[in-house]
Amino acid sequence: MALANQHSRPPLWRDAAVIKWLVQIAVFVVVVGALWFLANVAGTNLADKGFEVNYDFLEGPANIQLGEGIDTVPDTAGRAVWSGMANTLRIAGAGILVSTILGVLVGLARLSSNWLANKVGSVFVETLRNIPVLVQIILWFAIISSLGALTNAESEAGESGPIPGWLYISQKGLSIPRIFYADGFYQFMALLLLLCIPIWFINGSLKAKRDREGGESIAGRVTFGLFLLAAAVAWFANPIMAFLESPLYAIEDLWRSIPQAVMQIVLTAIAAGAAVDFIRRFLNSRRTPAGLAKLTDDDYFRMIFAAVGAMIAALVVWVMWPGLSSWIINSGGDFWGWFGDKFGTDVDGGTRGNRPLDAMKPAINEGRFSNFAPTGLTMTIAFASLFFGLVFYTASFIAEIVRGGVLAVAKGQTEAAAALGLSRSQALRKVILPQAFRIVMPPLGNQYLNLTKNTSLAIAVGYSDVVQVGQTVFNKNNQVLAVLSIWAAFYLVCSLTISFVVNKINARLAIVER
Amino acid sequence: MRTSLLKLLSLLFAFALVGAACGSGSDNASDDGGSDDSTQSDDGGSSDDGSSDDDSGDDDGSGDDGTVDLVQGGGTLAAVQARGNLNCGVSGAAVAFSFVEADGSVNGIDADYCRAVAAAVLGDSEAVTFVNLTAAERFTAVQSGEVDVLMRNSTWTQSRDTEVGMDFGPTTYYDGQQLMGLASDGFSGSSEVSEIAGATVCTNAGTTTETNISELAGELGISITLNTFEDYNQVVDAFIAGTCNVITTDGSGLVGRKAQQEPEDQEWVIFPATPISKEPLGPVYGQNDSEWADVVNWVVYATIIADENGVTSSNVDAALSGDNPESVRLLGGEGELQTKMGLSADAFYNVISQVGNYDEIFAKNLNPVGLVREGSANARWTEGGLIYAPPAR
Amino acid sequence: MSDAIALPPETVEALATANQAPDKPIKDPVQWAKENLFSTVGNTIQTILFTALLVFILRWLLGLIVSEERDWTAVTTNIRLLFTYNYPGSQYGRIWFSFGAMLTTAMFTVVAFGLRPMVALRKILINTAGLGAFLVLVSVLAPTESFPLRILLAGVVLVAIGAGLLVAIPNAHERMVSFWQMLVGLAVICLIATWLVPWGNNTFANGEVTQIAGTIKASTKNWLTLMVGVTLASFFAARALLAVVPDRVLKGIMLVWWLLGPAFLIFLVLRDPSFDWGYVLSVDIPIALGFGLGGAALLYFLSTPGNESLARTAGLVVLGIGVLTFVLAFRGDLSMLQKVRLSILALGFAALLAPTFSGESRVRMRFALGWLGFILITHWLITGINTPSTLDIAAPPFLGGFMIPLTLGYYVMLASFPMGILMALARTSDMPLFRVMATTYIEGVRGVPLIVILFFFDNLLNLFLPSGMSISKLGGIFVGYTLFSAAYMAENIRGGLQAVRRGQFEASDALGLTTLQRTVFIILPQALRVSIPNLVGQAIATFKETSLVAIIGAFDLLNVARNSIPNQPAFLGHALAPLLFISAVYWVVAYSMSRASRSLETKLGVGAR
Repeated sequence: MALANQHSRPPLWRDAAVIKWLVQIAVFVVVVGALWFLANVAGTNLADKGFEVNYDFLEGPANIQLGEGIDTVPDTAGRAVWSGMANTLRIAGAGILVSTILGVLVGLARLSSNWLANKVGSVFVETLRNIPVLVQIILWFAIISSLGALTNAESEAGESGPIPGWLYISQKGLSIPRIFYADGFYQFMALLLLLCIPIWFINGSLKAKRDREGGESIAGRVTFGLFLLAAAVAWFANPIMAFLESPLYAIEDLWRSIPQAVMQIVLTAIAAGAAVDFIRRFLNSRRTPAGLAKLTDDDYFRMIFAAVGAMIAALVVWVMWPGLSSWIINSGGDFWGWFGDKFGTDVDGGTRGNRPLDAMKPAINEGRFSNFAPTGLTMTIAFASLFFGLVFYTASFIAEIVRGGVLAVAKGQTEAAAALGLSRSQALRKVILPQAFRIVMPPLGNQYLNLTKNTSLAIAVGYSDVVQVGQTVFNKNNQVLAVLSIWAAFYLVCSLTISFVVNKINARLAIVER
Repeated sequence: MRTSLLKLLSLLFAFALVGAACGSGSDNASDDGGSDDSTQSDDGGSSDDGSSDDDSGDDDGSGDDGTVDLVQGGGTLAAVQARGNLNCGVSGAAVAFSFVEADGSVNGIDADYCRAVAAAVLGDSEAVTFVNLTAAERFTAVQSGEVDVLMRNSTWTQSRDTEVGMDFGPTTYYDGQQLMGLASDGFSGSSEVSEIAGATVCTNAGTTTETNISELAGELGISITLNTFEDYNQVVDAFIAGTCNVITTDGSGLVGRKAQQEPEDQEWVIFPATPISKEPLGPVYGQNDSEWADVVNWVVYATIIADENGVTSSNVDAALSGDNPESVRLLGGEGELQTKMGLSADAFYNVISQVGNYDEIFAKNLNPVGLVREGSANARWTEGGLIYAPPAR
Repeated sequence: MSDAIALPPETVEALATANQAPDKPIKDPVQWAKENLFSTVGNTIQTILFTALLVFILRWLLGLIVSEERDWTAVTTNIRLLFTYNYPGSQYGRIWFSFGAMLTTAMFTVVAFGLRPMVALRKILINTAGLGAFLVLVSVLAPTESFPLRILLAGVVLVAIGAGLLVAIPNAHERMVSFWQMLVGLAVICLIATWLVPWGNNTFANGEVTQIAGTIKASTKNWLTLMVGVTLASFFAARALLAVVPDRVLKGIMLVWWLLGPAFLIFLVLRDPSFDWGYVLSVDIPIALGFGLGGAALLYFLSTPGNESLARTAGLVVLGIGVLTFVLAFRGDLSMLQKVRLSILALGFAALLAPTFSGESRVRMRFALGWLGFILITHWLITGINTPSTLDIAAPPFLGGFMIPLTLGYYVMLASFPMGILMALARTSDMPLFRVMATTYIEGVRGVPLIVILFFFDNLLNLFLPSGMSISKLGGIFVGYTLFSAAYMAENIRGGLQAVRRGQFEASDALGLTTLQRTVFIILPQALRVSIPNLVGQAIATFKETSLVAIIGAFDLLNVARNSIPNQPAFLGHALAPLLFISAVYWVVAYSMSRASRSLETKLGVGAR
């Protein structure tokens, strides 16, 4: 009897696995129900006001001007928001780069044996990280607007400095020479990629040879030299890639000719494939040398959920949002068409230039008002105040992370490096920093995320980022909910991308670990 | 001992969670966290008065509670009188219109018109609760009944007036968008807008001024760099520094700043002579409540009529028994003009004696920042201005 | 310490003026400089470089602060606005009372937890001399001619006092200054500053600012003196009390007070509710007592060993009733006080928890008493919060200025704590659905900037509430900020949970503890202890980021400095001085928080395992 009891399953209502799942599903249903209820209330309230949330305004006229960005006089609100997004990415990218450099420098200063450097580093960190970044940004705005005036060459004071023609620092912002990609850039990149294929094989064979025969490796240097050569060839020979224009247009036509049903089938297949793959890998992970391990109820539930997920995806593709497929088809076609436009020798209005990159010196407009001409790389006051605020604030955190990372590298490593006769800076560069990098990477990634999210404070100084532009848009049309969803989606994508990159780097670094 | 303390704490936190989770759904009815009872309107009449918030859940079905009625069914006047307090929406950070003084009091022409309405309805100009509103949330506050009247330098436009849920009262200040540049850049009072081609123009973000200048630049076919800042102080700072060649906003804002902040080594010029837009500013209130609309409108008219008849806060007692029949009627000396509106007979007497007539309100708030009535659209109609009120009879 | 060498006074003087404060025994300054500043060529270059940098930055900062254009009266006149916004002046005693109460709390906490740092006399003296040297440096570097001579004088005097005493007291580096001595010293300095130093004061009336020479205003002076007295008195009272009462009792009281005290001060002292006593006595108190005593008895019974399944059943039933009352209320069928409904729900949860506490009667008694205390306090607070305020405020809410970072930061941390724990547990649990939900929430919230969430809750929260309900601006901000903060809190606590060793789980399983018991008694306490440093970091970040509410129009410290003061006709456009001032305020608070937490961590040995 007792024996029989041990083998028979307990009744369903006392089975731990069942209860666990019941509780989970119950909580899930309650949460989803609550959200559904709230959404319902919101829907009713909106309907009472005669207000409808939609995204049509993105197609409508914008009637706003942006201070800076890829399109300062956008035709539609959607275009304005798009420019705002580009501005956000611009400042986030620049901020991440510069704050990392500054943070590492300050972190090293704090580790310096020089008393003064050490103290200056500490004061930097302790001051800047304890003042809210928003306050710092606003202060920077006030500080930059107290800089010297920008004056024309013609005016009595001569050109403003500090290095006329190369670098201007004034209350209108900063301007330095600008490098930009010119007409030939895409053709150049295509040719370079093409040339990289043989180089890659040469590199592989050289490495293989080194592994076989030993001795000094020349693979790195040879590859680098060849790459430079390829770049030089591509620089001058890039117009030969013009033939790519017609195949790309052909791909566009091909893509656009995909029937909607086919795309729907493909999408469904992808979802189903993902589910099947998940289940297959899951089963594989349960495979032991002695054969397939016994599956618990939990495991069955997992598999069922994967299948349900795939079904929901299929439902979305076929029933709930059939437009998704045609949207994918259209935007895919648009992409290939846009890509094709970048090749070919004729562009509307003339022949395509051949230079992949070009550069211009900063200049000041000749005219009634002294403003920067669009030739240089100019930081406006709004950009500069946001940029310096974010960079200094984030750098103070990065400095602490770097210091902590370096200190966490075992003391024995430093001593061993010294014993090998490495100088202090050599030890730092070759032994300590590479190891510290691994410790530092995850918190550094967090700081990058924070910086990216903090760019939303642009609104305080009028930098046209996605939040500022979005707010201007919803002040006009009241589509707060729609704009908010665009913001949230945009920042989520940014954050997930950064997390993804940081995780990838982490994974790579972890392999190095033994 | 220590662990049991921790146990207890964990328990407390668990309970706090329950409180937080449920509280955020229900306590919100009037005030969650540190907020005061700005949205509260049911002190007196609700079923369990000790804890006015508690009845939120049960009463929303029946709907006979204060807050809901305010919006749809009218009756703002009665509600305000029952409450004994006027909820008045203001900016809280607009020079000369409504700003907070160092001692915490709210001042400015908008704030004074709030006081005037309170004086008329409640007999006490200080029975006002000011609700600070941002530009984005002001109209929602009117539509939802959070404020009884909005005095937040809001421009009267067709779209706003016809939008669901609100109506506009008589204009208290005629404003218009203008530009300001430096004399050293060659601007003068007679400059045209087309002269700003190539300039960096700065203004507030997300306001109609931004749209106006964008549209105008497009119309004139000139290219400008438009920089928009969140905060008007930043705009002026940037202009003083030279970051902006030209700034643009309502004329009142430009004149005020010019009077106070023009540095000695600069000369600021406001142009064009005719503003590029019309910005009539006045009170806003909930829609379809003509009783309340009449009250607010006639408070504004009363201050204007008093000005026309020379009745000020210092001679109002004399005017009450004086020989100008319109003033006597207005101040409640005879007739039942006020009582028919649902106000006490001396409602406008209170307005004039406690707050003042239009000229006094204007002089007190706008003269210090350099804005004068003479020669502007805000002069008396008899002197070529637009300030005009229907007769009180 | 052993190789201390006697120094000639002029050397010490030179040491101090150069603002060099080595912690080790005083060495020959030339030798010290050689070792620390000029040991190698690279080192020398660094020294020169950083000196130039320092001089440049200091000059520029000073230029910003003492410039002729900076109108510091904009700050001094508006001090009240900056700290408390428009809290009525006639009721200002309430602010001082709360301030005093918090000072008392701080003193009692310091005593109860034995956090009385001893500081070496030498360190104090060197810091004094260093401060003096800094002032001298500042007055030398200051770019304007009109820089007050007083600062130079003060600097010289401080250097003289610090260095002089350092020489005069032979064994200064051995002598320690105890906490109470420091406290008394600080009190004396405060009193001298308030009563003797002629700061001058500004009076504001009818839009006019009048400046009066002399010490600060009497109204402020008297209160400040009282605060100094309260601090000293409460410190010595706490010491005396500690001799009588065991310190664990005092510690417990302090912990509970830290949880409830601020709420008490805000809602019952600062908000000044006008209770309708008849109603309170006839309705509120009976309900609270009924729930408290009845619930306590029930829980005591349910936590008896052997009653586990009964307790679970009872808990589920009560929970069901609680949910039912909410559902019926939404349908408009059942009229009932909201707090009764909440109490029923809470009782249901407590009953579910009862088996966790089953055991000897002492534990059960404490459990039941905990319930009683919880109910009494929450009912009191709910009643207080829901009673209309009698404050006569020009523009509500009554919280504004510096009170917003303080209270909002505190409450957001407090409210997001339980939610963060739940999220962290869900994310680390072995139940996939919980994990997915928690991960979605945490990553979703962490992927979006705070300002977007605040925009949502400021603009749209009312949209999601059933008709008739509305939420005020600060309430919306609080809810949004709490939900935001909870995601970060969850990640910090998850870090702590992962640091708990596997063996702890296995050991508690071996003891036969239920999952709930294991989590509450074994895992969480250890995890929380590990995550304290991160939580303190989050608290500081939360405090700083409250400044974002300025963007959506709440009048906090930043918004007053940026929008209120520069819009007063007297100070039109003067934003930089208030902004510099509030940066200093934020800095002082955030920096002292981080310093205090660091010394606390070392003292308690938390964070490290």
